[in-house]
Amino acid sequence: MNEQDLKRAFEDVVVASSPPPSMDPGQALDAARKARSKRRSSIIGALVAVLVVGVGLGSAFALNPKAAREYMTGAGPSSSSSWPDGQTDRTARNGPQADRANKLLEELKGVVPAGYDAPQLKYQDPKYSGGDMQRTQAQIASDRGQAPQIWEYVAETPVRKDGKVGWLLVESSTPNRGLPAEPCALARKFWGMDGECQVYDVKGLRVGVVQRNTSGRDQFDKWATYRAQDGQIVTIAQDDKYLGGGYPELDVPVFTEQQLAELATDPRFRVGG
Amino acid sequence: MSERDAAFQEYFAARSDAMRGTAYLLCGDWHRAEDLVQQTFTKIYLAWRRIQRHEAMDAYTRQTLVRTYLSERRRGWFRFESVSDELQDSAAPPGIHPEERMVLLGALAKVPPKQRACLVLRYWEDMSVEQTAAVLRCSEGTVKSQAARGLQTLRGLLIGQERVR
Repeated sequence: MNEQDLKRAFEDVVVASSPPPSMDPGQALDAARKARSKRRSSIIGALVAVLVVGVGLGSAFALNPKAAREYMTGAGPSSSSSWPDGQTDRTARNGPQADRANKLLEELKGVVPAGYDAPQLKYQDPKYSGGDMQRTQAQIASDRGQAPQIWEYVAETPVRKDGKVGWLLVESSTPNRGLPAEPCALARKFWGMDGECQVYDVKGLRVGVVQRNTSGRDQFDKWATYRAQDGQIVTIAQDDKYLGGGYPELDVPVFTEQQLAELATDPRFRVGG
Repeated sequence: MSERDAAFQEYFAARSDAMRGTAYLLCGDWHRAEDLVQQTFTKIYLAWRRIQRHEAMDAYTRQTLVRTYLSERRRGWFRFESVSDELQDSAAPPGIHPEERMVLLGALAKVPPKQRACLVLRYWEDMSVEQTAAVLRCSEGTVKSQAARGLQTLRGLLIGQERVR
């Protein structure tokens, strides 16, 4: 089952389970009114106790229905609009965008240092149900309707040496003006993880390198993030172990921080152009 | 009826079916889903004045629904019911085997609640990683890993059940 299968299965389940008739708005309103009365009574009781009855209550329950009605005319079904190029959701599973993610994986495998290999392995942790550890994804990272679209490509692979396995990931994004310009601020946006960061200079290019992951999460020891002149953003991340892989971890990091920074500036990873 | 109540009823009529579908995928039972929807809209009603100015009322309602569901799970009294004893009001559409639906529901029930919420928000609601992270109050990285794990867990469970069948 992939993401598309799951989406289709969700639709099948909801349709096939014979949803009961729509809920009655009148009954819903009655229940909500009762809850409001109950809460109001509690609030009044509390306020009487401190002799400030009425303060705030009027404003707390004041009405402004006109604005609400105006807002609601714009409310539509959550899944009404469509994705581009025949996609059923934000992930492209074939076609040129998916090809870019696959290319990213090939490029990542191509930079693995001598002495290591980048094999396709299966997760040993039962929680991962034997899934592939080497994988790619191409997805629209922006909201539907947002222009220009932001595409995000991810490739990850195990890196193995002497039976020990680490984790390499590259994430490449088309320009995203919503992200900070300062290299370390940008690097700290990667997967929402914080860390101790230093700006590295790679032939005049400034790269944010997170040297220690302080997010408390067991995902990636170090990563480097670079925003190119054309706005594309590349992050190279590494971990001595592959979370959930169940294999012994590498003795030493695959890349130094300087090497991570250099890789982040490598134009081969800017696949969104 | 006040204008506020009329506006609430109108909003409920427009959105409750969609929210109930999401609730059903989260909890696996239509009756429980309706309870979740009622709780959610009651909270919306109580906060009406504050949120009616909100630019994304649907997003707020969906967030309230998911958090209500997760909160109930944390309190421990909620139990997933994958099979209803009551007869449904109408027959299932042709072409979809009831057993397949029950298998998926059964497998979904075994996916941890937060992973299940991730899957439902990402692949049913089509929410972005960022939006899902905001609803679940976690980082975007956690959303990605939870969704990936949830999908793998589900895949493994379904493969396992397929072997049993």
